[in-house]
Amino acid sequence: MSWILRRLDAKGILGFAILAVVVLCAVAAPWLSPLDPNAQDLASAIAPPAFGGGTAEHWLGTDRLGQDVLSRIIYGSRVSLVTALAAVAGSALVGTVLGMIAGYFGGFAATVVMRLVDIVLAVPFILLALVFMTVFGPSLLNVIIAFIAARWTQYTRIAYGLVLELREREFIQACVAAGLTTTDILLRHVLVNLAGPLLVVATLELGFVILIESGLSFLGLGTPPEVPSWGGMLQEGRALINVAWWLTTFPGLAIMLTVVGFNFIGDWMRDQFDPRTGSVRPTEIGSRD
Amino acid sequence: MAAERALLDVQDLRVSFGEGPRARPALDGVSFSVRPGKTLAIVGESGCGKSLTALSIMRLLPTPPARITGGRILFDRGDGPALDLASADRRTMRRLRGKDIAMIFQEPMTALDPVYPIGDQIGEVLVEHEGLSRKDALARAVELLRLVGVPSPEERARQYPHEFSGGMRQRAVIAIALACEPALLIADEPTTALDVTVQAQVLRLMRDIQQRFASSILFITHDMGVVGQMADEVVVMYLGQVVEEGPVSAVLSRPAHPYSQGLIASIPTLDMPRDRVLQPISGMVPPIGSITTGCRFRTRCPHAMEICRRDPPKVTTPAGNSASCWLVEEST
Amino acid sequence: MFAFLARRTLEFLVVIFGVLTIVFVLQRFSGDPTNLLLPVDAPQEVRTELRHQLGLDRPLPEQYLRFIGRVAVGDLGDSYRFRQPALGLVLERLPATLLLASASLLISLVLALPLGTLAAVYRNTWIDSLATGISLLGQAMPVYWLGLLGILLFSVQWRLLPSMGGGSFAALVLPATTLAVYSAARIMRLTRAAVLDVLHQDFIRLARAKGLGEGKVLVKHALRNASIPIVTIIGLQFGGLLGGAVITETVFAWPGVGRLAVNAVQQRDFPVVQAVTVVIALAFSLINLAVDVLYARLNPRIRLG
Repeated sequence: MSWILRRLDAKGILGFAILAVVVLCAVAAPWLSPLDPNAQDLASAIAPPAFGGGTAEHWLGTDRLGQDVLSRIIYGSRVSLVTALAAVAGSALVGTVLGMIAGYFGGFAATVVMRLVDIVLAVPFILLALVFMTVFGPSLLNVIIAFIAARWTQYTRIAYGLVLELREREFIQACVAAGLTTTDILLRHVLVNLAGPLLVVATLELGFVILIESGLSFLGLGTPPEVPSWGGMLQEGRALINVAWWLTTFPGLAIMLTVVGFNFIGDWMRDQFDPRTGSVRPTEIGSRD
Repeated sequence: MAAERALLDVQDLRVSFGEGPRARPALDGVSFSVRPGKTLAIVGESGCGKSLTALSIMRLLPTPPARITGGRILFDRGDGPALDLASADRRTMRRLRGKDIAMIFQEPMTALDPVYPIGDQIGEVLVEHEGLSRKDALARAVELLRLVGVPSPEERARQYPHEFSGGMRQRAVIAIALACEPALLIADEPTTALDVTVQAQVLRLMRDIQQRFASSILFITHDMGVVGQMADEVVVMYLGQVVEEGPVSAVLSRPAHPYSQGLIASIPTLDMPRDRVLQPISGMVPPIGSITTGCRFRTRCPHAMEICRRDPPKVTTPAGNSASCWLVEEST
Repeated sequence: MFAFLARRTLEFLVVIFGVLTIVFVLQRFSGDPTNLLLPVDAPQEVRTELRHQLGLDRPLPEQYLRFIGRVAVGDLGDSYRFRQPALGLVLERLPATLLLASASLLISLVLALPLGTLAAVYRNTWIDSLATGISLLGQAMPVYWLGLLGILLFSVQWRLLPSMGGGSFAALVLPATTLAVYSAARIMRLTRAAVLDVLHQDFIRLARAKGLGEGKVLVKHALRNASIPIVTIIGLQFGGLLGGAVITETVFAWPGVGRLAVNAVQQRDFPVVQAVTVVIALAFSLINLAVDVLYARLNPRIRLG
């Protein structure tokens, strides 16, 4: 822990600070939010924020049903974080395993896996998600499954490239010569060396997933309307854009700040693993949307 | 020596890395001069500032962090008073580079632009400085390739760097340097990255060129063995300072400074007795700016004394080389 | 070059074939289409008859071959909702989407290339900080949110630009600009990195040692070399733009394939979603193939290899 603290720069501090706030919101939502996010109060519907002519009761105003915007934003962090964590954990697991298999064994396995990567990448991600929603029906779980089905490619490409390099290195050859089993080599020696770059990709992916998940919710393909989510709030706010600017402005800011936070942490981690800051790395070229 | 006007006269050159109180001196009062038609070699281990000296003359120092903080670099263009390159404006420098002063770099593998044919890259200098058309420049480029010993130059001029071997690329880089027949050629370790056999060929080529064009060469190397083959005079540098200088014959046969002695003792020779062991200089080169007073070599010198904490005087020996060392002061 | 392009063309075919296979497999998961085509109370005989007509009673491999065969002649099935060929529906709206994506790409390039280059040349100055800051926010802003803010300011507040519909140049400005922001941010980031990488190369120092001016060094040597990785990312970003168009079109009611797809998803009109997917994948892969040709042209190692 102290190792991390010593190496933090402005970017890292800001990133972790934002992340801390978002996580706190998600975990402590019932205590932090001033009101029940689903409490409807039609008498004070579409109230502007406190600093824009509204009352102190609703700091960031209310929506069509008189629900408190601030409370819904605080609760909305849950959907974003849960989706992001589940999607990234799932795709990282699948992608890393496939990438390691392709890289270590090469040959036919590599051909099949890497062709599959090409195929998945040929369809823009949002469209792939749409296909999934059509087939399995729109729901948060299916959004997560769609993410896993598409985003594993990010980890596979990085893992594949790195394992190819590692395989030629002496210490891996030494492990083989020492009679270690393939599983042992892959888990104890290869994976350790992949962890850094893959962690960077995963962090940047967290931001990306939050960005796109909110987009799918905005299209009405993610969470059901009664669950507060940032994308869903934006969708509702869209209809009232002429009269209530706060309904679109604040949830968007929440998304942007969260994504900036993850990107800051990702950039900071990349700097830690690769001191040649700013150079073109596979992670830079690799991510694609 | 004084009667003859130097082509390049470097006086008390100082270069620092960084700004303000954290600035570290990388060149600390370097002086030497290159005479017309002669070759001066600068020798020293990596980190002694020899490449920085070359880049200072070209004014190609990576600024920031490095910058010239003092001294003069007088270059004689043959018309009127010598020009001080240390303070010349960018436009003057740009016209000078590639035309009056050309440079050959250490890494032939990466020195050429991968996306243009070799001929175009040689011709580029001629288009820039001689106002040649692209076609004429290309024809001249073919001649230059032939001159530096590239076989079937017409074909080769149309090829790209990745189609050239390391030795051939260095010949191409030399051709670029020679294109405008510069008065001064700076060669920064031109053979270090090459195979031994190719090294010998490139060195021979450079000697031929010098005789043919009567140009001066500033030859930078870490290899004392090469100095004997190439240079008329030699300057030995250590940690940003000149520790010894003089005619090659004098410095090689009777090195006065312990550092020069160490460099020479570590050259392997064919006629060396079997039981003689090569003597490397002990220790590592200390980081730049870590020793700023007294004799910089005292931390590694086998003869270090208490007095070495004070700046050593420059003493000229009977053989004609001058060294900055207290020991030499005592023996003369 | 020929070997390179032959290999890439082969890969292209494999990819398209793979996309079709995945679409086919997913189609088999999408439930019984007769449920969507027929009223709930349709008699069993009608249902069986329709299943027979659609070839759903055949063994899977045969269905697969028939599917590929139909796709080969341009038949991607009929829309459940519109009762007309899905491909036709998609092709009708494709030009609008391509126009939107191309306009966005143009805007991104005009913004990103000069800014990224300036940031690299004036590294660690305020220009660099400004460019990096813009790119940072651009990568974090949801496209549709930016669109909504654009509507709020330019259409609602200042009444400068229309907020919806297609057809006019003015109607294109807001959606294209919004869509451009994300890819502009990414292209700028990569341009900065690529130019910075090249500026540290030895051949740049040699170009300076030749006495070339900084402008010539930058344009003729640095940018020419940096263009090789940049071209690759531009091709990839086009895919992102086609995907992003799905959301942008919905926000701005732009009559393209994205909006068609979103509406089709809500009605579970699988043939339309399938047709959009195949057409977009084909367009994207063709563009990447074109980018590879350009890449090969720019890179002598491949052009001559």
